[in-house]
Amino acid sequence: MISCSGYDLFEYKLQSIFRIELLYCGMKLILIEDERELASTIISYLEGEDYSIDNTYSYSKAEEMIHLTEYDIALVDIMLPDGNGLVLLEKLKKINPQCGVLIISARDTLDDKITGLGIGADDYITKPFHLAELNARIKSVIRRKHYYGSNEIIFGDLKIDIDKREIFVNNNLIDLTRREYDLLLFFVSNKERVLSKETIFEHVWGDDSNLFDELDFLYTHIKNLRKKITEHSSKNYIHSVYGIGYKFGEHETN
Amino acid sequence: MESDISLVSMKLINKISRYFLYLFIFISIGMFLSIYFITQTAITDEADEQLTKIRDEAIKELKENRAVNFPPFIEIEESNDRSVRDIFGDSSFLLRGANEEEPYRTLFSIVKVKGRFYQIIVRTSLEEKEEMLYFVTSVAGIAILLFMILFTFLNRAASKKILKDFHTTLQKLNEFSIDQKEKFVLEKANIEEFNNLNKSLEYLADKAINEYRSLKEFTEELNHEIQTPLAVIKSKLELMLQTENLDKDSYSILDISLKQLSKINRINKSILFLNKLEHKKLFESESVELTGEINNALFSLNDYIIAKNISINKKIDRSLFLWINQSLLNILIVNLFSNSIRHNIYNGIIEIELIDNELILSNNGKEPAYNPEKYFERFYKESELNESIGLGLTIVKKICDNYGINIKYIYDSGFHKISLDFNNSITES
Repeated sequence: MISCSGYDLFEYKLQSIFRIELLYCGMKLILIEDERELASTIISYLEGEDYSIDNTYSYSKAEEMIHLTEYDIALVDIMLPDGNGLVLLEKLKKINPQCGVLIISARDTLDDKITGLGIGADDYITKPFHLAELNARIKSVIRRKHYYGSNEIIFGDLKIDIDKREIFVNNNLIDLTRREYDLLLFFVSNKERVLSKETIFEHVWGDDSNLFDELDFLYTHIKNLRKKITEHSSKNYIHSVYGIGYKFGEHETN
Repeated sequence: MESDISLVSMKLINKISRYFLYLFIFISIGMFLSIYFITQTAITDEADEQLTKIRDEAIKELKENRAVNFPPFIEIEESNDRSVRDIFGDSSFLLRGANEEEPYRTLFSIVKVKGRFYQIIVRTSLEEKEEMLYFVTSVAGIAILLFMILFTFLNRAASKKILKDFHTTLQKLNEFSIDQKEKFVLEKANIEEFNNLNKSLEYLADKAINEYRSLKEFTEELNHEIQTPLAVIKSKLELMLQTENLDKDSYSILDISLKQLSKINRINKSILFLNKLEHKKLFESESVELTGEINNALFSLNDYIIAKNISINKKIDRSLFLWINQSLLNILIVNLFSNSIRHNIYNGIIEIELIDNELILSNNGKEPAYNPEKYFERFYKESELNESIGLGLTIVKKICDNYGINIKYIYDSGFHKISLDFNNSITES
């Protein structure tokens, strides 16, 4: 809703006014990423979500900012030009232990992962990532923190109980396979977004995805999921977008 | 390879000794023959001189009208032959009382004494002299032979000592690996040529290590550096995907771009992983049970197995504990199974067998078109049609190499078979 990347006084004041309102609905998110282009893309993608986003490109600014504001979520790049993201993470956890942390790293090393998760990061994502994947991970961190009280997602006729991994369509419990559940949750996390087949595939089937060329059987899984939902609902939530992928939402697009 | 090299070096010693031996045999035969003939000539000359003296004595006696006759050593009779001459010759005689013929030197002379012609035959036994000849030549022969044996041994020992530095160098070269961390150092040799050789080798090895290292660092840097721009492009394209009212062509362009980009990412990741595999220390080994890992892999690949309706035929009746890094074993097995699934036909079969300590995976599939021996090479693909990047089996091979697992591929009557020999990585537990 609000993205604020500068320290313009006017903008800052404007933001503070909105903050009061946002305190009750939106999450305060800080993005610490030195690659400006990547940062701006992330902010653009997250615009549709209910977050207020601050961002900075440097370690020192970030340190200042975490002292000033109590963030709910922090996205931290490990390699910053003037410091190590892991050190920052440690400081952040001392000041604000409740803050959910997602590490963004260019290096896919187990050591960084273990250290990061060991000092309080909630998740770890390696560059290059899918924006939808990042979005889903942020939501998963938020859910784990129980910021919203109950852990239920309601979308149209659908109700997802995250803790029990149960799906209700018009209050009818439907029986989904593990993959179908993961698919649906990923769709709901990225509602009204165009998701490429590959993005969906990598999220649901994990690292093995690069071993297979044919994504055809993704279609089979989506077809089954659709069928299970439409048995109890008149709405078709999963729309295919030309050949490229799918979009989850209440309204038919294109 | 090692035995090959040592075989060649043994030949070098033999070769040097062999030339010496040929030369020696030639010289020895010459020496032996010379000694024999010189001795024999000396003996004959002496015998002849003796015979001449005896004949002269006989002539003296004849002059005083006494004819000495003592057969067979001296026989004198009047001769009708009037040509005065001396003829030396050899003959054998059986002496009375002796049971063997003895060699004799004979002088046959016709002489004229006081106007009458006499035929004088003088003989002397060569028995003792011949014995002496045999004795002398035998002693010489034995001496030559002994000298030859001694020389051969000395030569071999000396060559061995000389070649010792050479062998040390060879040994070091055999142990040399281009990715070794420490500097390649050869001991100082006592022989100048070998010393020069060692210096050149050290220089070459160092150069090779450095080149290899910087190439590897470069690859690693490149792969890391490329990560961020790739991430930016990817996120920009994905953001573009969210643009309202894109037309079909734009979607298609985005789709293709994203797919190609993820291919680059996969290649990048695989190369980074392959490089990481070089650092064996990063992967700690533990005792891992193979069957469990196979079951895990099959479970994680279950969706694909179902999608292609492949039947799994598992014939493993015991557990096998391996000393290996668990995640690497997992990657190894998952990669192999993925391959068996990918190249399988619909409704095909995958057979998993454990015979002795060898795991054999067979699956239906089309006959390999070109070069099955290249399957484990980097970026090798049988067809350009599929989306695979051709690094899966290279990773498999690298992991196998790291743990001394012998991996083989064959195509046998409609089945692709991959066998893994775990004998080098079994643990007792």
